[in-house]
Amino acid sequence: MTLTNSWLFPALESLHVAGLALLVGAIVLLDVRLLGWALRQRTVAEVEAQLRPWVRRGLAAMLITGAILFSADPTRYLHNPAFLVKMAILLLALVCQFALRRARLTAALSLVLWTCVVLAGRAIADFDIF
Amino acid sequence: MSLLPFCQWIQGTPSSTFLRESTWGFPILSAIHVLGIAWFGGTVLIPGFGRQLPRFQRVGLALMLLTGALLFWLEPVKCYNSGPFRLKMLLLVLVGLNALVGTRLTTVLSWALWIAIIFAARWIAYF
Repeated sequence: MTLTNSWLFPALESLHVAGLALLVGAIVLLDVRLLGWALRQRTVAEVEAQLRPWVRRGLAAMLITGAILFSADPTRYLHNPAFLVKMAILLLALVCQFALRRARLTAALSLVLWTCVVLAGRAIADFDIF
Repeated sequence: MSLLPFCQWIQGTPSSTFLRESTWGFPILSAIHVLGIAWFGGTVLIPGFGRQLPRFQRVGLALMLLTGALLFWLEPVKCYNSGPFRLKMLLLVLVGLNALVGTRLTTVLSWALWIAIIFAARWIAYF
């Protein structure tokens, strides 16, 4: 399969970025509410209930498109330092998001970790040695 | 004045040449550009959060606009010649007008515009 040479590849990348805007967009909205920086006219529970379906949809879009992009050339990605760093931080971010109790500290950690995931994700293209 | 000579003039400025020839100029600017949409995107894609932007989301929008302008400054002639770039700018004018005039686009139309902007943006790298 020559996914990398087809218009399908940029199309999948675009969907991956759209999923990113949705997933991280929803997560940082919840984080700023947890930190008390904004949206204080709504309770944390309300904001969380409103955002939960969007986090789920965004995560589904990210994981599906990400897996297909990875499958296009696994060796290439496994030799890419930015990709490896991204996967390590992604694991931490997912643990922080879904395994830890929601609090101000985990919200701040979530902001930092997801920010690093995005930065490392974009850097994959810059560290592509092939 | 046509836009092409203007783009060529920008491309010849020392600041544009510096950004273009530096190793980290493009990687850093493009990473912050994507970070901008990640911080800001929730407010335009998720219903119920677009009314008044929290400060953090405003910072995301500002980062996106600033790094976007600098990325254009880095290679204006390529941008000028790029069909996807022109389409992206047109679509951005539409969402910008929508925000300024305050028309209430349907959720579907607003989504379609933003997804189209993301597609056009990704296409700039390829075509």
